[in-house]
Amino acid sequence: MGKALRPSSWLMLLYLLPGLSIYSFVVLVPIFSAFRYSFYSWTGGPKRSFIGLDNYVEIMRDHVFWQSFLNNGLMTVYGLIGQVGLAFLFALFLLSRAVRFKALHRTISFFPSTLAPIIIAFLWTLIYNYNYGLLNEGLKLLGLERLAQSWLDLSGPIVLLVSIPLSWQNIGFYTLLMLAGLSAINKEVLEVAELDGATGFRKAWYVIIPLAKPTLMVASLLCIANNMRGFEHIYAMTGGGPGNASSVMALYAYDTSFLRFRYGYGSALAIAIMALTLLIILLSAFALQRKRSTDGGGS
Amino acid sequence: MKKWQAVLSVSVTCAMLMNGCSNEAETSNGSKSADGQVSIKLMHRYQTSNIGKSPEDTAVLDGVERFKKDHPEVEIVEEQLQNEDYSIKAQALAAADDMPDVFIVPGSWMTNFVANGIVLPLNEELDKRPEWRDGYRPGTLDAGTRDGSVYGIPIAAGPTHLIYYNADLFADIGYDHFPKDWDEVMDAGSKLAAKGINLFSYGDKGKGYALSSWISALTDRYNGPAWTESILAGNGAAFTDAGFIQAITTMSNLSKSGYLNKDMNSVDGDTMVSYYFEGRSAAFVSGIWSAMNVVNNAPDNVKNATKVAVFPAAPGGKGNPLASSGGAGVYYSINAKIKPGPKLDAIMTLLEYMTGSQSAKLMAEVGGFPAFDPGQFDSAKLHPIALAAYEASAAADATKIFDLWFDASIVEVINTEIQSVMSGARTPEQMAEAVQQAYKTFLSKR
Amino acid sequence: MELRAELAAERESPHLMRFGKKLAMNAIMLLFTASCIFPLLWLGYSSLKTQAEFSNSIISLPGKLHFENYAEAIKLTNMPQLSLNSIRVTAISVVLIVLIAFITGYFVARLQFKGKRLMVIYYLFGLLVPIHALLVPVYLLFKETGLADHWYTLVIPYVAFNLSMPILLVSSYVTGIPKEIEEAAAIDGLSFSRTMFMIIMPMAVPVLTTVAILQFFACWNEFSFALVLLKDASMRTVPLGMSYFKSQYSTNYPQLMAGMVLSMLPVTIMYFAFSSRIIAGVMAGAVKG
Repeated sequence: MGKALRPSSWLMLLYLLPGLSIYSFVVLVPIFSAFRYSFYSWTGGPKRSFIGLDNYVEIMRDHVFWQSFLNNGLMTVYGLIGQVGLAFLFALFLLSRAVRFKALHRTISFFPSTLAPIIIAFLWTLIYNYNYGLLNEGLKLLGLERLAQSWLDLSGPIVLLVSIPLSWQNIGFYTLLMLAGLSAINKEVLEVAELDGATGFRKAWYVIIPLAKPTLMVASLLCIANNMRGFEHIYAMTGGGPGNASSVMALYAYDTSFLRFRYGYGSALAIAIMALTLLIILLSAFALQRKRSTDGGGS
Repeated sequence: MKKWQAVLSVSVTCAMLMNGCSNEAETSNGSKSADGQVSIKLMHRYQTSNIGKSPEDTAVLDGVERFKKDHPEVEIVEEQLQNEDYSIKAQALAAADDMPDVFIVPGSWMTNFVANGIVLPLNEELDKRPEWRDGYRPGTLDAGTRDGSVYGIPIAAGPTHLIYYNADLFADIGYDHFPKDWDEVMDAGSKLAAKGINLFSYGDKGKGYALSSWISALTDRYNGPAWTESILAGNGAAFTDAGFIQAITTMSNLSKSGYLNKDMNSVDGDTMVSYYFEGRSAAFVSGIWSAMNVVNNAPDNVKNATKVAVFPAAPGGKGNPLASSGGAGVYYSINAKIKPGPKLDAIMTLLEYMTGSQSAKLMAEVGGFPAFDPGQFDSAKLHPIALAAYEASAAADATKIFDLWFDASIVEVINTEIQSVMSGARTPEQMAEAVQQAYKTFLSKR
Repeated sequence: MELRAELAAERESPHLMRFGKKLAMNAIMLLFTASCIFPLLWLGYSSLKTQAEFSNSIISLPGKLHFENYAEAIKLTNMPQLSLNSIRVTAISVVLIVLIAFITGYFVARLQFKGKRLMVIYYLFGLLVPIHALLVPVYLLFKETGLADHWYTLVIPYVAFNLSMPILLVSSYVTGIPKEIEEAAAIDGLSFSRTMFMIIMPMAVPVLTTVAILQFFACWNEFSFALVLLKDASMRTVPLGMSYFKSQYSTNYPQLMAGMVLSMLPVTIMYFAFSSRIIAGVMAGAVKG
């Protein structure tokens, strides 16, 4: 690379500094403070007492937290199927010649991504509503009135029920991401596939998936990160209820700080959430990477 | 790596510079009010848009306006927030030790705020104003008092448990009164269910309704007030005692038998009341605050049929069957950093305007139950339902509202567990066990 | 541009099956698209009903259009003031995000420097932060630095928490621009900064538009920081107004819906005005492996 293309170190620093400083200031500093508070027993106000690792020991034994963690895990699985998986399928459909109104599908399906969580939550609470709900109304129209439920009161499938609005909102975004990834490979590769005589789903499986892996991977990691720190939809739809049935980690940490006045423990929970999310991301990135390399060797 | 250190150090410097600049701005702001004018920062959850709808909002905000008129020399910087938002904001401010001068403190926060030195003891100031101090109804200062020091000025009182029922619907199934015992309650429930009507509508989405309007009163029916005192003092009583389990079982049975609305955990209090208005339910359990909601918003046929009752006696229970959980629940407190002087004087005067005699009269006249005894007031304009609720409140033997007295950590567990029990996912015994666990943790830390 | 491969493959399959498959694919897509838009249309037309009409039949169209629901919502929430505040905070944040994301993304795509990988990871870390669990430390920070409660307060967290994705999108897009362009510019004697801003930035407009609009939605919809970091009612943003509005009308559904529709109106107009560009940009900027 020529010298004229490379600015001096000072100029580089000058350019990168505004972004780094504002980001460090708002993102990093609070994390450091939370880390510090996590070693204290702190119920608000100026008084704090140092208790070492007690908060972390308590987290290990806190079954509500671990139940919330499992709920996050479950939501992530639903997210990977309902957001990334379906988006991949829809992207394939949208690339096919057979499907009409592509622009319409793309435009409309992306629209829910632009709405505020408070609106999504309101809308879906109403869809699930027992007396005024679209879902029960739909069942009635199909003559399945006996299946009508107060959906958000069901402890069993509650995590699935709150995951559906999330998928509904984000699927358009992931579809676009997939389309972008797929359209980059379709031209050359699919012509080769044509020569091989690969058809339909076989084509998708053997030709497209290995090539779309980078996109799939980014989408999956993004989806995992979003589901592990999920908060707003659940907060507004169920508040974690009934009981703790739909509680998630971020909501539990929030309640601990704001309803139970336990800021020290709440901070420890925040740190634990980040550590667990990071761990899961690294593990899945590792797993996906490995799978990718073995696949690459196989095909 | 050197570059990174440089980046970090520069960003820290930037932050400090920003800090410096804004502090300067703040002090210049501060000096504006330093030339003689007292400025009071007030944060509460009463809202101008609720004037005329809610007696408390009407009376308190009227007090603020009167104060502004009488004391133009005092500047009032007011922040109004809705309930949920208020809690979150106040918690963040409290954690940062950055509370405004005057703010609302629910009784359940008080222990924590006192322990952390956030609120100012008011005894001395109140002693300077004996007439005002002695005007509060007996017991209303209690939940804001710790170790003899008063930390909060109560606003409204009255029961958190009353039953509003539609007498016509009960007459249709052969009851000319509200069921007198729990067998009759269950009988009425099944007869109403046969007609497709819920006995009670119930709305606990906000988590807290069950404890405040049901569990507090119902547990007292079984256990009597001595049990509650023993729990609070930490000398022997337990949540695994039979009475508490029976109270929860009673609620659970109503749910299991299908006498409550199916969506009990996913609708809020307003929806619960609207189900009653729509005739989906024959009754609902709520505090005195719902009286004016019925008067203002119920369709005429429902309004005219509405009567007020309390839970019947529990079989073999130790509590007074006429009692209701009640007392003042929410207080105005003052920032502990305020020193005696003209500002504190102005604040106390403001509080008297907002909660004292004149405000109390207004609150009673529009259907509320003020903590300050309004004495004689013009009850002519009051709707019979509001009057009935007012009289029930004045007559009721007030037992403790658990959510104001128990520690927040225990309250949280009860609020969460009761949802699980009502939805059928847990048993009352399991709930009692979990609550007792939280109680033990709390005691061990005390 | 369409898939000739698809066509070729399909030519081999029996006619009937091909038709069935086509039909199924179209049906699935149409069903999905309908499910995306129907709840929103329902929200829209139900907001023009009265509560009685709504309880009567939740799904029927309104008999008469009750625009007074909107009048009430505008009156009660002080919508003009809220929108103005939201527009100001959102606009400034978006401009800063685009600028910072462009510069940083460009550096990541084009320059080799020590700590680059670390910097990218550092920015990506922002995607993991559970902000709601950190509201107390964030508030403390703003209070201690005196940054709370100013008209510009919200810009700071909005920029900081919305940098990660844009940087990723920009750097991926810039990677796709041929390097020869900068080399040619260097030969013409253009400085680094001029090349970056005058040559590359215009070329990156598609992805920058996308970034701008996506982050516009994110900032416009943000609630928690707005609640905690602002005291003055005159600085409140639209989501705060909505929360307040919701507390006032929790059982009058059409009235509530009118408020919801009102609050999403600017975003909706923005989206449908720019949707083709947003979509082109997301696709252009998306990670291509």
